[in-house]
Amino acid sequence: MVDPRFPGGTSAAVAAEIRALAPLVDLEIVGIETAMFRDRRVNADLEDAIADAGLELRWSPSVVRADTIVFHNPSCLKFDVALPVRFSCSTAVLVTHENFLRPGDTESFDVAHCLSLIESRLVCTSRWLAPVSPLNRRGVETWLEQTGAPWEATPFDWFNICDMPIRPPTERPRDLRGRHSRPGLEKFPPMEVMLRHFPPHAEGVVILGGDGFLSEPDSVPVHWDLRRFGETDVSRFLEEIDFFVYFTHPLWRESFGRVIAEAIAAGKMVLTDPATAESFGPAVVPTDANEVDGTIARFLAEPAQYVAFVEEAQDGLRRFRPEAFRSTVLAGLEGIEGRANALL
Amino acid sequence: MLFCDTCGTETRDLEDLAVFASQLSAAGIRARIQFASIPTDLGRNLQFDLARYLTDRLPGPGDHVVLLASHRLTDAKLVALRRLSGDATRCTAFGTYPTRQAAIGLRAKLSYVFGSEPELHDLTNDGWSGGAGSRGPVFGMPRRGKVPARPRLLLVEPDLADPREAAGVVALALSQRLQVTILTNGRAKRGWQTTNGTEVPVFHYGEVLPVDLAERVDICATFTPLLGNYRLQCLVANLGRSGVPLLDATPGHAIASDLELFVRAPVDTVTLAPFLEAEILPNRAEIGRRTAGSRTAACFAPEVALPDLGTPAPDAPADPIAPLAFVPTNGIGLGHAQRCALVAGEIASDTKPVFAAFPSCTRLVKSYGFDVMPMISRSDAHRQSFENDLVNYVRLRALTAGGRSLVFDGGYVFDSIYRTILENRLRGIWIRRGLWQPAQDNSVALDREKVFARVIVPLEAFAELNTRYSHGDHVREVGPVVRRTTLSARERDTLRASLAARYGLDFDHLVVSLLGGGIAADRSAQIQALCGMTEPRSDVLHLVVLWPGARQEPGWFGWRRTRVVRTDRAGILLAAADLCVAAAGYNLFHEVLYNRTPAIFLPQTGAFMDDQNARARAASERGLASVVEPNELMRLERELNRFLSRGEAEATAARLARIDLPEPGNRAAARAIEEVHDDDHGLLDDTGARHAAPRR
Repeated sequence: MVDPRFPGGTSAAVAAEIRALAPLVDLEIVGIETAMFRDRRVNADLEDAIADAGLELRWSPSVVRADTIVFHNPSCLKFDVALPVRFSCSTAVLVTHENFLRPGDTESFDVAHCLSLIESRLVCTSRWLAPVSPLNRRGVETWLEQTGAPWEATPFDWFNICDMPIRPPTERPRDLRGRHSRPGLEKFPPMEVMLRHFPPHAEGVVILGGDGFLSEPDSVPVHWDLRRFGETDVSRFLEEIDFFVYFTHPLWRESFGRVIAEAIAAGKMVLTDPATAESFGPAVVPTDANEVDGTIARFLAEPAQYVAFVEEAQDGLRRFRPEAFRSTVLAGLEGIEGRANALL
Repeated sequence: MLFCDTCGTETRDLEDLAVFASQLSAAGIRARIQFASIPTDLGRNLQFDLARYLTDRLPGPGDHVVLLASHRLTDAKLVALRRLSGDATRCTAFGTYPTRQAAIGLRAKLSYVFGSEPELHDLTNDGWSGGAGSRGPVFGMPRRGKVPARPRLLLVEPDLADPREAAGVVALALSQRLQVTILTNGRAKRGWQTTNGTEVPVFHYGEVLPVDLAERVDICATFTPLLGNYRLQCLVANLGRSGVPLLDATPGHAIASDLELFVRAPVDTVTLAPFLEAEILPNRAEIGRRTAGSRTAACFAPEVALPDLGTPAPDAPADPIAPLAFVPTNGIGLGHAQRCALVAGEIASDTKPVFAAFPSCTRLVKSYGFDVMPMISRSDAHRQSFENDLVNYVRLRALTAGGRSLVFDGGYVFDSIYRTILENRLRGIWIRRGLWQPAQDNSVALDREKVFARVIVPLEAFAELNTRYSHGDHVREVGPVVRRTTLSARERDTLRASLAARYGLDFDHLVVSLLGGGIAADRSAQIQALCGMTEPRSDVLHLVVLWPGARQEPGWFGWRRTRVVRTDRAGILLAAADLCVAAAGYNLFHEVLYNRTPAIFLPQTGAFMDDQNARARAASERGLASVVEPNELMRLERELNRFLSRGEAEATAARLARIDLPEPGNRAAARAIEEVHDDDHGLLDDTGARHAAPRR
């Protein structure tokens, strides 16, 4: 189950998941219409994945029955007052693509409201919240502790599948920096940090998704090549840079960081804050705003190290491949279903 | 420092922002509004409302940003806030959040701007003031003034279009026991004044802030609901905390049902009058005590209604710069400044007047020994016609902060004057000479008479020129305010001899032309013609007398019998002259008359000026001067020769010597100012609001 009109990471993750799981399980895709995406179109990637799997999208049936119902990203219900679909299953899993808590443990959205809408329509044996990363898990577990809600966190991460094509890194890296994200303020650090990340002495700076800056062009440096979200194809954008410098606002964090995986797969070195870097382990350079310049200079001086680092990072992406997902998630589901049955 | 902003994009949102800032200011909390966050196409009243809070400084570390109508935050405003928030890390947001998600979402967005979690204050359940869409917190401050002998009744939005209701208002306004003021919208005010004139003071919402209006209200009856009207809500909060009886005159009495501090009242103005007589006036003190002590009034206290927004500080200096300020308008010449200086010179009070004056007048004022704060003149280079007045308003507010009285001399009461009197709680005194042109529309000026405690009318020397434009005990007529320079025969001879020696020209006739000065209309052709007319006469010295700073033409130089004199001592030259050629402005006209100097008047005839033709004709008909239209240059030459060669100057001087003129009013005007300024005994209340009985 998903609102298939999510524009970014959620739809991409679900599309990859359909491709990975459809051959192995009896899969049904149910679409629900939430107030969050009123008047939006179905995500093209997701639409293709459903069609490629020979499936059809069922829109808002009155009842959904299955052994296991996986509801992707319940935050999409935050603007709704009711859910028209009833659920009947043995195991219910809500994949928490959106962090429950922001840094400082402030709620990111009205989690209790979204879950209560589902709870009020759900009959099942066991209810699970499936985090997508270690950072995301911490938020879920903290929230569960704080609220005592009748859900349990899955013992495994329902990570995003990363099966992007792997491209080799350049052997002669240049100081070409860039970042890509949706244009929301939460995706960007404060301006003074942006200025340090993308200084005038960089050979090139491309910011894809800089719509907010474009609305006030006088307030941004002239050496920034600002592009609107979607203006350039992501793979083409990644060809224009060698360093992907990706920091979000310190009061918001990516739950998984799909853009980071895309950059690594494209053969780019990724620099980000330590918390965001956690999902990818040694595949990215955890740093802070003051060290970005020095880190880039170090790798520019040692191109071989740059190549070695990126290749190792790409190797690390294997743990997010479809086959890894299949083994982790299917085994994990079996485990929690077994635990639920054991309780009976 | 506290910075205020609104997330709303409508004009009304900015009006609410101005109201909020003014309420904070009354509570001693100094608020600032960023200039860059304000649209450039606001109406005049709103620009004045906001002007004193504007800053182009960005918030720094430790500064605090307060947002109104935060539930209406748009992406565009969010982006703008990112730029305008500077280094501020503290944000307090007021608004209504119908769902928990709405509050969480807003909290997150603002945290990305400020780098810290904002404090949200949900006004949804804020009782009567809230409800969906409430824009800001309602709070009030007790007013400072005391209740005068005739309490002031404010009628809020009576149905003035209804003849019966309008008649009821007129009847109330005639009461000897009450003073009536109306608060309504702009259209209703215009309609009322078209029919009823300016006898009853009427404010429209945009021309007065609640905190200033509250100082002038002792009983308030509202005929309109309060919901959704933040300005009116704040007025009620101020009045409620001041213990002012509040009457609900709305159908159904919904306000009184919500708020226990309101008294149910008749819903029409006709039956309101006996209700006031029977129920309110005899019990006003007790009702006021109950109002001030009500639970709602307690909730209006800033410390209850607001989070911690900073430490209150007094908003007026203990030692004001100008306890008694004089502000002459610039007008066409320097008449207003000179009149003010003459009157100020007669002030016997311990308080030395301080002036605010336009650059063309500052030298004159200083020559009388007064300090002057410069004001900005109007300029075609300004984007808006009143842009200079915005600056003058801010300057005047600062100059008179903590002061007591402001004396204004001029025909049109600028916003800066009107607002400074209102907002600094000054006793306004208006020196208003008459002789307005018959077709002149002075409704705006007369409308603003309502903020003046006193109007001083310097009379014209000739009775037929005096017309009364307004009535009441607050209007004082005084004799002509005039500068007199008395020279003995010996002094006069000595001065003339020194002039002859200075210029190396012997003469029998001293002709002084005083046609240009300050920013006078262009009379360069007439002056040049006079130079030419006097040139063949070896018995004449022609002095073109200009005020320092006045424009001078090259063509006036190089004449044998003419000299250009730039001086601030024109009076003494006038006293020594045999003939004066001058415009017929109030000051020069009376100076010529009282100094008994023969004159040829060339009246100025601007549509916005006094009726100089009438004034000059009055003198001419009495044989005391001659009148020449400015374009009649040949006639001017004939008149000049008649005066100088055919004995007319001597004949006119003889007639002038015999004429009885009214006693000059310089001292009387000063006394009328002192009465207001020095009054500590209840003639006026603390706001300077007058106690005039209505005209019967």
